[in-house]
Amino acid sequence: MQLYTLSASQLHDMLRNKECSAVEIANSVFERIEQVEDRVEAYITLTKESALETARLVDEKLAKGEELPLLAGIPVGVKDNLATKGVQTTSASKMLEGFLPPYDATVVAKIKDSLAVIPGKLNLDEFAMGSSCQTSYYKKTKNPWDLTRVPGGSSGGSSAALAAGEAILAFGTDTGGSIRQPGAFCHVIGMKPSYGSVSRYGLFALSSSMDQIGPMGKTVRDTAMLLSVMSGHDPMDATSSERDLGDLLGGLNNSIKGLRIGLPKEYFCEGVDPQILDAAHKAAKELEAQGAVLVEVSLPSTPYAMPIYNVLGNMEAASNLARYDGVRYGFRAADVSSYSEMFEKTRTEGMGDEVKKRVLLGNLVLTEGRKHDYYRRAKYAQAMMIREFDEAFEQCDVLLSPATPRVAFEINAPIDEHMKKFANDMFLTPSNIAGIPSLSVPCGITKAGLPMGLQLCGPMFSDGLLLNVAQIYENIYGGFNKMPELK
Amino acid sequence: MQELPFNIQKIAKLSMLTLTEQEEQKYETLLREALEGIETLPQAGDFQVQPQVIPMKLREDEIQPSTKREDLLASAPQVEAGCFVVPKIVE
Repeated sequence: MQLYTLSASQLHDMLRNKECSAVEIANSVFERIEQVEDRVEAYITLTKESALETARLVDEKLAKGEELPLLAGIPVGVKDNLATKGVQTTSASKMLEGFLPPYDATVVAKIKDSLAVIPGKLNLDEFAMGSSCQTSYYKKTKNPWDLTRVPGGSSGGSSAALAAGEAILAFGTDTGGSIRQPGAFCHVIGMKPSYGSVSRYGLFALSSSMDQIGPMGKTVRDTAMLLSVMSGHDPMDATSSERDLGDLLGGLNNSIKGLRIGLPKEYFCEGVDPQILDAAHKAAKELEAQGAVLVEVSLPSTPYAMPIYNVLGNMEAASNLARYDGVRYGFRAADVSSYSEMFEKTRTEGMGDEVKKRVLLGNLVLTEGRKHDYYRRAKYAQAMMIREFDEAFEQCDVLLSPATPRVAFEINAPIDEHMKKFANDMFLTPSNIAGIPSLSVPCGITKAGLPMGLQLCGPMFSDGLLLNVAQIYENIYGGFNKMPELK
Repeated sequence: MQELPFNIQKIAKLSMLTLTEQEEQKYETLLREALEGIETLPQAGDFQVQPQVIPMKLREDEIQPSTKREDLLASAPQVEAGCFVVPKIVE
């Protein structure tokens, strides 16, 4: 039995029972990285030396009989848009090649305090813009379930590393679905917590009103463990909520008898892969058999999700990315004779195509877009969406739906009409727009051997309830921790 | 409503990006496609934009320890006398 195949919860117990050491856990993960990383390409930067140093420290504390923090000795991969002090943090862009942040993101500091072991910095779509993990300047991550397919994005490095055994836990970030969609594509759990429950300090911002850092894991308990460490009020983030998420681990196996599960009819629509629809319906029925009550609800503003995101998300992104100018850090173009030439040449050479597209769109909306009132229209549609969620949550306690309209697609697949009409994140982006918590869990494997994902959303700060429902479903499913054979 | 008119060169300038002629055509097409979707948004009538759901809490205006100057300068492309060096700004 290889340690890298086990869950954080299992390793947590084994360490305390002296069945293994933290160094053995770290070595198991690094040996696995050596075995598969050339095929999966999940990591941009590896930090083996510091990882083993932390592991040794954990073992010393164990030997002395000291009590260990929750994540002690557990390898947690860090998405490369999260500042890690003294470690190259690139946001998968040429603009930040070689950039060494002088500080840790709050979530990174928290897992360091918990003595987690950081194997390295995980690949993503450039500046977290994308849903395939193919737009990174550094490498294209592959899906361990089928190496000819994408792992999803933008947290594709995180989902792939978990699925391949190259990390036990991972951080992702989610602005429009970027944790949950790769989670669904790779048969791992991905959670976007309630907006404000996790500090964004140290996250290289994309869309400040929708970005959230979230946990990704191989089991629900693992995911809850990471969320319990990373969440909490932070004075360094002005949007950080003072409201606590409560005990996320204690209530995981609470009974769901009488729980009302809403099925939004707009999310069970024609165009979604029939196997995913069947799997989602089956999951709902299985939860009903545990005592839950199924309720059909309606979220009529669902078709506005992508246009809202295109307006608000890109406006904020264009503003946030204006800081990448070659002045104080990161890439600066050579042979420039003026300040303005430096700006333009640096950004033109430093940014990829998808990033440029979104910056252009954002600036278009911010300027000419005023003539067609785009901002107010997007905020109006957002307000409608939030009201519809509020009304739905009067009829139900949680919402259940397919996570994505399709399974992992082939690398370099052309963007066809189906992809345009049924966007990868169409069921996921609404919860970013509304700020509500949402997670995706595995709900089956297709006949072709590809993972399918289920989404659960709830009202603000119902993160604990979502994890509870997810745990009950995991018990029915027989455990989410399944690792593919790489081929 | 008719198509939103825009000048891709002007938008590129605002974005501090230089585009080739081919890229101008490419991005103009991509932006037009995005605008098609955006134009499906309902009209806002007399809707007033409300502040964010979770009110932002600002810190007290007190001096706190901060990042050291040398750490902030460490990643700069060019530094001199404790300042960031850039090409000439003013003629």
